[in-house]
Amino acid sequence: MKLPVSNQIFRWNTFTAVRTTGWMIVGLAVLRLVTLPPSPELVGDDSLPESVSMIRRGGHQDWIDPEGSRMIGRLRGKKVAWVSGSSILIHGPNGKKSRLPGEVLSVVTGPNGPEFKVVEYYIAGARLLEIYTVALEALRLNSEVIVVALNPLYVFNPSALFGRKQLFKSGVRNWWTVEDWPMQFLLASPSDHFWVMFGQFVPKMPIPDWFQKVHSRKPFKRPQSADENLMFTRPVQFWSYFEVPEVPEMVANNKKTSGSIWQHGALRLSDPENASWNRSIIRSLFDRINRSGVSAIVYLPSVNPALLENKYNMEIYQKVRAEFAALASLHAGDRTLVLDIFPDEILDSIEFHDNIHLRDPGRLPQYMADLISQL
Amino acid sequence: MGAGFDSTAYFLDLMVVGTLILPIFFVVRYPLGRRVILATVGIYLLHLIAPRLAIFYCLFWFFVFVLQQIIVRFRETEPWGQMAFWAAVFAILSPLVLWKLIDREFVTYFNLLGNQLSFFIHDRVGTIDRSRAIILPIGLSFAVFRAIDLLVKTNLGKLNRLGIDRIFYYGFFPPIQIVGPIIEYEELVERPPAQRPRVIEDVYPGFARCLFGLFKVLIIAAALQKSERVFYSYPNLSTPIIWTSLIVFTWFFYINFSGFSDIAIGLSRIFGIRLKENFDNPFFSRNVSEFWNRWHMSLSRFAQRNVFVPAGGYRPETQYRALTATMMVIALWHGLTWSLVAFGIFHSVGLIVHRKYSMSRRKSDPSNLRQRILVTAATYLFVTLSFPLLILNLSDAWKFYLAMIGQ
Repeated sequence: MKLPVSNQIFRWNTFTAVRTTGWMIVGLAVLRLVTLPPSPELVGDDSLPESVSMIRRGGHQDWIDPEGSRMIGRLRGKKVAWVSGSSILIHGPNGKKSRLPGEVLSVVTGPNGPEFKVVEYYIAGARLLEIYTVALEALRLNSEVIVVALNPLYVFNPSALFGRKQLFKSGVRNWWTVEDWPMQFLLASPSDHFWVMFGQFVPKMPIPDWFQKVHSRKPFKRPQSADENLMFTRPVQFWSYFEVPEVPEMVANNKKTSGSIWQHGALRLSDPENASWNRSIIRSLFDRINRSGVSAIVYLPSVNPALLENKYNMEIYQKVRAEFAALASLHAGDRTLVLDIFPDEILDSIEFHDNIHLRDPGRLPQYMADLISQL
Repeated sequence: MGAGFDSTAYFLDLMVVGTLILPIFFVVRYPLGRRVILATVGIYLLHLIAPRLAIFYCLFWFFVFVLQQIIVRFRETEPWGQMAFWAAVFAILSPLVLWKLIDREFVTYFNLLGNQLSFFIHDRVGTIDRSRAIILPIGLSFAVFRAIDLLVKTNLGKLNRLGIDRIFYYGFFPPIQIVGPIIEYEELVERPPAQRPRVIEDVYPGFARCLFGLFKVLIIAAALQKSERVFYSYPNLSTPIIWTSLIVFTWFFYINFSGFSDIAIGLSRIFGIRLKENFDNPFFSRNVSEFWNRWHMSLSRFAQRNVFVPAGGYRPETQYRALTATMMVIALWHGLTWSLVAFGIFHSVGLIVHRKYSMSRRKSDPSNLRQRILVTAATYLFVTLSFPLLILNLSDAWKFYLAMIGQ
């Protein structure tokens, strides 16, 4: 049989070393395309005073973020690192959107206050392992304060320990305690390790836009309803649908995709008594914060009281809070402030957009600003 | 249905692991050791997709091992030998057929049961599994056909009793377990792993072949990928745009698929195993018969060995029936849909017409460049017209064809 083109090109001869080097460069360029690191996004926000600048990592970009929210370059001045999922989103009236860290820091600094940089590590739909991994990255910033929001729907949810494999690359760098070692082998893939070791040697080059389409390749599908698509593509939705009794009926009665259904399902999949790995991660989180010496606020954002009208939901939610508080009492250090729920007067002032996201934060920004100022 | 799997990521992981284990491969002299190393890597990489996938395939290939033992035990005994063989083939085919017929239910139970099994191994393995994406039984079509090939050869006496290490080595051979090609067992043993891979003869060309495949997949195929939108947006497109997009799509499909085959062949070569080619410039074929000898050649070889020849493909009185049966197996391997039945009939007709024509006419003059260009273009056009049947369901494919002629 005739040799394929590749065999003809790659014959061994005196120029082999030169060609090998050439192909190595091509290979590195290809790797660059596969693992494209986005730059930190400097966010312009007119609602913020000039003294506050926001640097945002993650967002929807984290789907292709191979460096797992690693900060590129050093930041000078005072910094607050804020690690959170979407519980910081504020869906205001008339489509106006803002975020809790910006609102809080506006209060902290005031119009002529000290210069502050908020480094917001935002991961939509963040699970516990992502918050932990990104918090370890944020601790490298040596910020004055780190704020960590743990979503009560996921904090003791063994059905949703993680959702974004891209962040394992920063995990490989930071999961160095003995308790973290299993994650190096069971979760991170060999290419994650490779990237962490050799990524710095990969040449940086301008990337045409269409290369990113490689990452968004989708299989051919017949048109399906949005909920059906979610059920058969995302783990939380899948397990909720088949293991939480009310969810199939809720899906059947709801013509549109509703985050509330899946938030309901996620809470019900929580299992504080049996989520041993989750407990271990929370212990490690407190431990690593203590070792860093950084002042910290670790809190569970409150959920919409409407979600807790269901007695099973309320029961699980109370178990989640109790387990979190118990772990915090054992492992949180002196410089870590832990909140398992906001005080009633703050909670009463909050208006919810759905089960977890906010419409009007009420007095929450002032409350959080006071806490940060105390640290 | 199902998502969350990226073949490119799988191969990048394999390239990294392959680089790490290659020195061990140079050192380990025993074939058993090498088989164990490669099978372990295969299972580990499946586990990274989702533990339930690794568990499923461990059970699947263990089942193949048991069936192979049974066939060896009874193959000399009539009628039990044939009964055992056909029962084994039926058992191996059943998960694939179920998946293709009732995909939603199959995928649901595949994920639910797989997750329950992963908790038996360890609590943390089960937890990892629940957080991994909901997946299809990735690679099952390839695995089932490889298993059948193994059982057929065993039944014919070409293979004797194989140990579990050999079955797992064949089943979990990492370069081919996800996107093929459908290799034969002999391809792994003809040049035994005991033979050391050599840097000049194997590692360098293998590595280069991998890079070539990655270049095809990530650079060329990615550039052409947008053409697949034609299958959804054709009602709003003009006829020339539909034709152009369809032609570009055929090249995307070919370059993407053959790129992955290049990576698989290259990676195997690094470990001193030379797999047969899977593509040979199929779009430059001069007739449909030649096309199927140059397109997804491992599937064609499988169908020829196991369908065409047993069905009497070389006998004049049964050749057309054998051709049709072969083509239908190839078509239905992609899925059990009416559009794929139509795909099989379309190509069967093409093959039969070509065979009748070539028997009744003198052979074309190979030195006549104009004639060669014409027949190559005609073959390419014929193949291109069948692509909508591979992608769309039958009614949508019909509408697509109407849109191609401006209706």
